Amino acid sequence: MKIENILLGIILALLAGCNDEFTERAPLDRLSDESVWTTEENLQIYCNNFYENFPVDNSWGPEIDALGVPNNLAYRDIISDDCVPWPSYSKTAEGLTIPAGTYITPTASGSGKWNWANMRRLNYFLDNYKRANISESKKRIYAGEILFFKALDYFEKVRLFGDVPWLSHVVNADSEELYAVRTPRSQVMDSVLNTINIAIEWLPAKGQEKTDRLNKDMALFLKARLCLYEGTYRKYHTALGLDGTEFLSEAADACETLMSSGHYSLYSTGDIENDYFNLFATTSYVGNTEMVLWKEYSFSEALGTAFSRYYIQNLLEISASRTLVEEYLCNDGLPASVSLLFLGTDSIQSEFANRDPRLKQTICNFGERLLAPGLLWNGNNPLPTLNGMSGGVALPERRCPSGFRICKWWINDQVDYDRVALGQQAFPIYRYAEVLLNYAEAKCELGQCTQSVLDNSINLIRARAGMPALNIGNVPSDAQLDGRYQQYCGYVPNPLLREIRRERRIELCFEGLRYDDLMRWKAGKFYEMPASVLGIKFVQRQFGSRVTVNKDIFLNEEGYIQPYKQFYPNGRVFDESKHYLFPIPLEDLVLNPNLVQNPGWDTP
Amino acid sequence: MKLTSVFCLMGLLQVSASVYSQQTKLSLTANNVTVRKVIDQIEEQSNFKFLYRDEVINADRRVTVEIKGNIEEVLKEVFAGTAISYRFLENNLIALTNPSEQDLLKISGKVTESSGAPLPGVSVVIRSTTQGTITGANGDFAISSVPADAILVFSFVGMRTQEVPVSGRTNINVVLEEESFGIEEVVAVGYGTQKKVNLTGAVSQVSSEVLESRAITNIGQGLQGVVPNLNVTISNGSPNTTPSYNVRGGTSFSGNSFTKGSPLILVDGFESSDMNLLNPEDIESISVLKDASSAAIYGARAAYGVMLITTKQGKRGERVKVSYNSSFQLSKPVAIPDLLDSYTMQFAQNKAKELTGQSPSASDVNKLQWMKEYMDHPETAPVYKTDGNSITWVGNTDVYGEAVRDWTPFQKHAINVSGGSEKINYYASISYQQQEGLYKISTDIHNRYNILLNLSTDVNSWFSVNYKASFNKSDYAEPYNNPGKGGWWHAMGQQGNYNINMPVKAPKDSPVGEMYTDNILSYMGYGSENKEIGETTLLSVAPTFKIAKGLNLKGDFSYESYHYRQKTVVPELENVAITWTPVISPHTTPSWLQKNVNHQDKFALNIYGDFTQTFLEKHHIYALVGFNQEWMKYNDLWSKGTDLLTSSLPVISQTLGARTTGDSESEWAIRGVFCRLNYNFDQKYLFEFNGRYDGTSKFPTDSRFKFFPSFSAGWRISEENFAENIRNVVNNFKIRGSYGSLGNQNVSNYIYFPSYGTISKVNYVFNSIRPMGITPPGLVSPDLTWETATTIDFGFDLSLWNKFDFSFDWYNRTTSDILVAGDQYPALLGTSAPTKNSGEMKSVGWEITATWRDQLQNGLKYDISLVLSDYQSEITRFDGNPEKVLSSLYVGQKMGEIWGYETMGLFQSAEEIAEAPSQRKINSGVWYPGDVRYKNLDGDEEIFTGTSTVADPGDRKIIGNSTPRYQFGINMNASWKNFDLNLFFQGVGKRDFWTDDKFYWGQMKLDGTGTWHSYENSWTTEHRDAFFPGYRYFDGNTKVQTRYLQNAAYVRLKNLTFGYTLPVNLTKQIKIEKARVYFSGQNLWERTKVVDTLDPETINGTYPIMRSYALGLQISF
Repeated sequence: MKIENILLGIILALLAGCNDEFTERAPLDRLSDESVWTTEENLQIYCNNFYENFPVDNSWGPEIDALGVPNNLAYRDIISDDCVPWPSYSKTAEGLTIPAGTYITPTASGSGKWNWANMRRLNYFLDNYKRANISESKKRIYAGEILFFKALDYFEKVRLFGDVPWLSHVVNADSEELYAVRTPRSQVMDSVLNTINIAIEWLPAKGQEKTDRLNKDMALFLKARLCLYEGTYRKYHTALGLDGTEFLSEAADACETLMSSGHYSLYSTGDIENDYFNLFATTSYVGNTEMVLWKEYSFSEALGTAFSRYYIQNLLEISASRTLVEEYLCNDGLPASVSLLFLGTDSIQSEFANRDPRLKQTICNFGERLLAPGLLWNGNNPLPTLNGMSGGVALPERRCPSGFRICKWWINDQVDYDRVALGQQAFPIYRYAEVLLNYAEAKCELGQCTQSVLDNSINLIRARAGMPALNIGNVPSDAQLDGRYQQYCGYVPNPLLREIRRERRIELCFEGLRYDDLMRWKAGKFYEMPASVLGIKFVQRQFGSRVTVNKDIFLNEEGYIQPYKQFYPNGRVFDESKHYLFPIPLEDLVLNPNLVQNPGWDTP
Repeated sequence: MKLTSVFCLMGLLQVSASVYSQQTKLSLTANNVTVRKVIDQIEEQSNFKFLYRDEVINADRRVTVEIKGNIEEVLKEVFAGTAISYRFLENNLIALTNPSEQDLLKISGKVTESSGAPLPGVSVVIRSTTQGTITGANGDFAISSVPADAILVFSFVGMRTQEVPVSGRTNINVVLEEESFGIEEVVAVGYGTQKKVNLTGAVSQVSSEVLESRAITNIGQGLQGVVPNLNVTISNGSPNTTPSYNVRGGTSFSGNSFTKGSPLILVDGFESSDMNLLNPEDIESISVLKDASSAAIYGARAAYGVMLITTKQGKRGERVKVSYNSSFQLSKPVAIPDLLDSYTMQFAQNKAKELTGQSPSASDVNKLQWMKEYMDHPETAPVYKTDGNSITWVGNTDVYGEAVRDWTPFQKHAINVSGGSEKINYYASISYQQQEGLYKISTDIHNRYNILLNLSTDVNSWFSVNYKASFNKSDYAEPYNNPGKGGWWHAMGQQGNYNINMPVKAPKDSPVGEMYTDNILSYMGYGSENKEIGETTLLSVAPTFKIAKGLNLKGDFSYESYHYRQKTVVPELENVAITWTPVISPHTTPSWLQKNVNHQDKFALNIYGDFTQTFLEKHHIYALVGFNQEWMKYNDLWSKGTDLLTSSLPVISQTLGARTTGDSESEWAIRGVFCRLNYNFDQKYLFEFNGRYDGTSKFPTDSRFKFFPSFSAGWRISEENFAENIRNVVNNFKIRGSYGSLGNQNVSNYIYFPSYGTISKVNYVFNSIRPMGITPPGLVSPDLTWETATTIDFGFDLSLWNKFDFSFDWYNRTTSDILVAGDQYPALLGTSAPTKNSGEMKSVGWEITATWRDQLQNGLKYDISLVLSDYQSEITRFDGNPEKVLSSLYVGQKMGEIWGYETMGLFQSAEEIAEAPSQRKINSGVWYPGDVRYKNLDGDEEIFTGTSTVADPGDRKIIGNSTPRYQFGINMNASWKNFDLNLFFQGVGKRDFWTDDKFYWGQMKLDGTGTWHSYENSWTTEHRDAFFPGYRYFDGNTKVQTRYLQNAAYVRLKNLTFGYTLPVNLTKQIKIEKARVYFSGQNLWERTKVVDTLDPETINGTYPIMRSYALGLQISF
């Protein structure tokens, strides 16, 4: 045999060996498109991870995202005027740029909450679920869940950005929608309303749903919240030229449906000194009729957060604001500025005397509501840990800024504290008290508030707290608060609305809603109120020689702790011409020239 | 399966090979001619060649024959009536002998070196027998009973083995030449070997001596600094650390970082799963193929170079040789952090308050006093102060002293047996090594076991088979390093309030008796464990068929099983920290146990044939054609149980809490054909072509196969006629160049499949359980294909005076079609853009090897070699960051760039701060005297990052580069009489790096404990010209900046070995051929500007580099 023939033979044989099935290798452990859209179970599994979108509490604190809406329920109020956190500590520094007015236009595409990944996953379901070969009614349950989450997602985007593109289907790399202009707010919110209405129709009634899945009531709750938001936003942001009446009516109707269902009532054992506190300090809301929806953790399923551990550590640098404290009524139902029971602000003790019992269940009076031994460090102190005081671990600036130390959400449990990753403190996602507050506000805004409306809403909340009922014929005056509205908002709500808003602020503080309230009420200028960054009246003898004024702490002329004297000597800033909306990332404006930046923010 | 056709073909070839001697018909007509003439005729007619001595076969005898037939029939006729017999040897060689006349000679002689010095200890053996002797002190030898046609084999370590035909002589003097220096040196290249002088690509080879004469624990240690531009990174000093390899710098980029890909590493032609498990002493040679032309034959996996590791084989006809090597080693860390004592630590904390105009709290002042009391009287003063139930710890634990051993032992034993007969050779080895870790408490231990058998046998004259079987195992056990606590070495140097102030255990007389505290060392000692076992088993069969003269067909089939097991047990740790109520440490609750099992099966098949031919004396041709396919399957299974029933029974089935489990499977396959054509004219002009048509399962069908060609050429100027006159000086001078492109298939397995993701447990509880979740597929581009690396290489090799060797290479490697995040789409897309082949980068560099060898008249032999290399990598195309944002990669970025502020100095007064541009955006806190003042580079009113783009970096600029430049190794050997000495220095000529390490910054970083170095050099009102800022935690001071940038250039004495070989005439009496004892020290000395706690080699390594002192013994008999 000739050598050439042999070589040729080899080459031919080898070439023939190529390009065949040997190099064809499909994934061995992944699902294919055909296998997913088949059974009811698969649709259900697809829906499961959207439940992670509910606000839950982040383990470590408000460090993830300045706008951390879904991740930080108890922490989210640090971006409101209810809170005075240290702006220099890394965990809060970014979040603090919002109330300080120094939030910077983000650069990277998809950042600053201009994120559409969740929307793609939702629309992917809507584009495909009909392929499943199961009954229409079963499909609708899961489509209802998806529509609920879609409404939830759009509601957040509208709150932050105003006009946003409305996407009905999955967009692909070649879709025109990628380069379209934004859909006007009114159109988006009409679609959101339509979406949530279908969700309400398709979701099962309470009790009919599979355990722990969405039901009609939860969708009604979301509808009430978003409709009240939109209704009041349109009413106070008159420049939009939109009428909010329909949304307000829809909100009131949704609340009424929930209120008349008989499914819910406020949690109360009659212990007005502790019921409110206890409501936020539990590992389970099973049997609690106030919860429309709550977040459950499971030790055996290895699901938990280190919330209770790190929240009290972070409270060494997050504190309540003076304006929040000032808004609590005295226990005669009158504002502190007019009540004869008010003992003045000479010390925290006098300031807290004779007030709404919820005050001491939200903010520590000195010597009351101590942490259990072993929690935190050696610095477990009956006093708030001001600068200069020992806190066990020497961390500069980890000191209670205002002296108003928050105690709402304290579960105060050594076992849960030590669960470094699997803390089990449960969280209310949708709480019935908010329905009552939404109802009263919507009715009041519609001019339909009657004594019976009050008795079915606000007064139930007041009764649980041990406060006198609000009487429509005898609404107290509060010249101080009215003056603040006049000075900072340019309008004075009628006294009844003022009291309904006050009740809301008191009842729902540190539940992550205050920022949205300020925005929809067009009350952003409240940030600039000096009292919103003041603390306790400092009484030297209570702290002995441990705290030195003008060295460890700084006071204003009236003797209140002024934690930001060095950081924000000129106070916080809210620019009404831009700060009601957030900026779109610069890269996205470049990538889609049809996208127009919100007013006042940077453009490329 | 198309393979069958290949096998059929092989069958055909076998037939044609086996029948050559049978069926080659000769036609012979001789009338009264000499036997010599007859033999010449046969040689002319056929491929047969004869070996004979005239006088033995009486070649002048005249014969008359006329015959047609095969060779045997012909010879029978020619030598009819004589005693002459014939033997068929390999390559159609026929030996003619005359047993009756064969006389046995007594031969004597002398062996010398080229310098004339006598060589004692040289082995002299009659080929194909075990009969032999060893030269004496004067190089003399005498050997009797040697057949007159025998061949004597002279061999000596370090010298080229010579075979000398006796040809009836009784006195034979031999001059042995040094081995690797000769121009006949052969280098392993892809699917074969090549003479070094004929190489046209960039190939470096390391021989076994580099790895076997000193005490190293793995191959990586032995290769560091030995081959220019083979970058070996040993990230830390842990016994379990795995060196990583890179050839010639940056290879690609992905995400936000450059990548330095690994070369393809083949052990005896097989891509081993974990070559670090090999015993370095089993290695014969390591070739590093650096440029495209030398690596091209490996195609899709060799884009970034190839390392060919060849294990040892026995030699044909070599008598049995047994070697035993062992070494014992003691090590200690190069540096131990010099931490502040507890008093100074607290004192500094209190002082930090004063720097910001505050005063220390009363409790801090008290604490300081108590610490002083304790330090003054540690025997009597209490280690804690207690107030009711709560505790204030005031101890002064010497945390490194408590935990680190003075000396860490290592031992190694290896035995190998090698030898061969005429038809068989073998090498068998077994070895064990044990290396202990540096901590006293729950010491980590690493064991390695190796077994290797290489066997080669001739079935007949045209068919031989190689077998290989190897088994490698390593196991490592250490206390579980809790991620909540950080790596031990660094964790011990921070959180001083735990690790310094708390003793490891509360004293016996404390309220809880002797009990662990929250000191980091309690986590080390209390009984958690992480254990890893890795095993590879390799079986391989490789037949070779000699089809015809110059034509061989070879094949190999290999299977490797890689098995990895890990078990982690974390029981609960009960301790006291803040109060006397014992608590379970939150980092250990719930207790848990996890097992991982990971298995890989790998199959490889190679079939290739090569052909050599010389035409018209000067035209040399070599051709190689082959086929390769490989398949790898990966399987992973893990399971975790929480809440151990008891820590004494750590199995998952005995856990009470949540149990989770998971698995994954994947596979890939490649298939390709390759070829090499080699032509050289008169050893002067050299040309080579390599090519491979390759396919991989990792790309979609349509873009799966691609052809990768490469060319290279060389010109040996020294062989030209005009160079003849200077050949005494210029022994060899060759210039060469190569160009080629290679694909890279080292990407994830299924990138072109859109597939649904699954979440095994969503973060939400439904009906008390966390169910599964599904996420939709992302977007994939349907036409993904190979990333391609194109390399141009120019180089030359020069040898002078037979003493000096110099090689230089310059290269430019461009990697194009890098898989990167595709075109940017608006965020509205909701998913990442499909990846596409778009990025491009280049690496440019050069490398030098220079060696000088000489021997002095007094017998001192020495050599010095230097390797020096450099590269820089830069991005030339990347669409993903058009704005050139600094946080991402951008076009024009050089690998390793460090952006930072320029430091002006330290603020000396509040007035200076007020007048300077505001630094509030860097840190919104208040700035005080003693803080860092940054230079205003952009002229605006504030110091900041600008928009963090190249165009607007604010007040930052490129202040350095962390790529190691001018990496070098200097290796010196000297031997005199029985002594030998090796010194090996390795280092980096230029490198910067930025550190955030708390060893460096101490309390200027959060939770830092601090070393004396930074504390004593920090700013105070009395010490205004200090190097460091005021000693307080303030982020503003530790931004990346020029003042604290580290210069990581270094030179380190990696090895010093001093050996003594016992005199042969002494050891011979106890039948020992060679016995050598040596002392070997690793990392004995270094020079660098980096503070000693940050080793310049590992840079913030989690386990310090060790200085080692070893005693070793090598015996062979």
